Amino acid sequence: MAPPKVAVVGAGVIGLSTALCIAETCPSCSVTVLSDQFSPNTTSDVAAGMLIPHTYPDTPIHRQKQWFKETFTYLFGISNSAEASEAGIHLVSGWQVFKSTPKEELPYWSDIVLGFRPMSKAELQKFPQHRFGQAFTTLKCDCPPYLLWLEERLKAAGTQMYTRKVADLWELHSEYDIVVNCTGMGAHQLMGDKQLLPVRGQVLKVHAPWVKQFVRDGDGLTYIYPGIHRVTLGGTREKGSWSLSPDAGTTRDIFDRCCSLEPSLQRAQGIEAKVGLRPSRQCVRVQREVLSKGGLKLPVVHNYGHGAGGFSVHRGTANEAAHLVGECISALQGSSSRAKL
Amino acid sequence: MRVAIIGAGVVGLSSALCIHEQFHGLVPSLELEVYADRFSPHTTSDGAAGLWQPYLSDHGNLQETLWNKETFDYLLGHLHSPAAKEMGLFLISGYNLFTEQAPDPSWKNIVLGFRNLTPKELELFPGYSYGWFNTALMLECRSYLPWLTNRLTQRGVKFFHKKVESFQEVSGDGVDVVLNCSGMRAGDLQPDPQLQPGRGQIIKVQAPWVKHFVITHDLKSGIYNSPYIIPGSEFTVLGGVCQHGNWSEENSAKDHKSIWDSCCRLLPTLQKAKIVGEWSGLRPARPSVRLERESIRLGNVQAEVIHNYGHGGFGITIHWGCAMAAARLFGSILKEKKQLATPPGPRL
Repeated sequence: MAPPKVAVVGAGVIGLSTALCIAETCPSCSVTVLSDQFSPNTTSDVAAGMLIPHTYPDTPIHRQKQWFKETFTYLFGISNSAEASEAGIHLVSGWQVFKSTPKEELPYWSDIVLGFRPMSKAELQKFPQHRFGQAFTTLKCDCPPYLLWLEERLKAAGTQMYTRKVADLWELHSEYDIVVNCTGMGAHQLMGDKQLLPVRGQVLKVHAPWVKQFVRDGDGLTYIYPGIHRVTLGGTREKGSWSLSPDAGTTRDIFDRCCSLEPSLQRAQGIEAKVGLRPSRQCVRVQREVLSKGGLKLPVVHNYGHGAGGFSVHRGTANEAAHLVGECISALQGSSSRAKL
Repeated sequence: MRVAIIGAGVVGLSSALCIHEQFHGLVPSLELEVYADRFSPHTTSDGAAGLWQPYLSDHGNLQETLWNKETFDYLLGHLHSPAAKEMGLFLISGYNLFTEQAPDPSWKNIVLGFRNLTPKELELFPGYSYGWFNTALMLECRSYLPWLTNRLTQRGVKFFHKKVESFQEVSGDGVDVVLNCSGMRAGDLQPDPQLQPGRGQIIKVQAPWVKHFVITHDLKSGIYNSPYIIPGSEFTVLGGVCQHGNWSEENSAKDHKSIWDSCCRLLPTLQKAKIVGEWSGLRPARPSVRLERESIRLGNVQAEVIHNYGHGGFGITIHWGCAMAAARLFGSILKEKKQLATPPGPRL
């Protein structure tokens, strides 16, 4: 069998990291990334890229934890290397504060991030409306740098990248042996996946370089995430909203909520509103299937539906998807050798 | 009542503000004048990164530990005020690293969230086997000194750009109290062999991805003679020399190389950082801070001097506690001179 031709559809953090894992685990594969959008116009570019996991209701916790651990370990290694600034990866410390004590005081990821501990009384004094808090150090993937760095790594591995809107996976059948579907919100139309719904997030990117710490309200709605050049202020979680235009009233509301957590943000400059649609699902779809149509077969590996937790688990799901691609290749090689008999 | 403050670094300006805040209502004739040959951004304070952190050990000098705490608490109280950004004040967390176990510092309960480093955190710093994590404050003097100057100007305090050569020069001119906040050059006003320069050199870089301070310690080579990295609001400061007895304010190529190499070893990501400046300054080092009154006979005049100098590499860290102590000394001078007006009350 000729070297397998793999098409990865989607060039957000999931598409690019999955393509990279495939290129790394299957050097003989020819990998091509196809997407209608590349950085800086992907959903990933809007996100702050913080490694604070989202809990998927229908994915077993041990699997989510494994994904997060692999992602954290991978990025941790890069964060302390000379490439860190180019890759946009850096450590950041801060606080997650709760107005009422959460049911689960120790989240499943508390032993993966660094230095996780409850906040002291003295620290909580800074947040008079909050009664409980957690302090820890985690990683942040700044976009566009991280996506651009992934693109560079892919180019170095010989991966081709093309701007192309794929309206139907079957379009790719004649050119590729295996298709990897990392289309995020695009899978709603592409696969007709009705379980996949947008959760609209509006954020503000501001210039406030004195903000060195993150603060996140445990309700997940209000957060302050300092990046390399800008601080991301959030946010909203609007289920079922497809609007990509920033809303002025929402901008005001986000700004006010963040200023109440961090008053010095009143002095922030260069406020820019952005919107992303979190491709949300009860469980992340990392799964292999073989599509059939009139005697034709198309092996597909899905890797989408990461919702609010894409960055936190991206490398782990990319590893798993690459593994599934390996299974597809074995299956193809198996059937091609059978065909020779 | 005329008060002359000699020195316009963090100690001089904050002492002036503290005294004016406390006494202008009680001493109607109070006039404050600041004399200095260097103003921000050319003072020693301006060169400091601005991290609030005392030395590792207070050597039993509990007074200094208390002044450090008073300063931290005062600044923490201002963190949420609208002035914080203008003051150059913000929170920052980071790492103190050691090659061997070290006793907890005097300030462990002053800062926020003090704890030991976990093994995984230590993986970030090969060569270091022990350390602390805590959240502290940054007070950038290139913002704080202008902020203090504005507050003082609003209060009618006058500024004079001149090098005062002797206490007599000001007290002979009708000044009642002199506040000696002359830092490194206090020896020019009155010999003090205990005051010695602790020369420092720093490299300023653009490394906005660095969000934590990293301070290493070599218990044998002494404080600040080991690499440190302190991210500020506009640039990151790399440092790690403290040369006792060296009066040179010129940048040394040898120190540059040593600081650059050691900081890049500590944080490899710095190799991509762009260098945007370099600076050398003299920490006014003394075995302990000189904060005391002295009555000096100058001709037929009894001059009252309050000394407030010798803050070494912890001037920003201790400044407000010392300012308040200087203000208390000023209050005792006023009592002696029976200058304190009775507090305002109902007129009969």
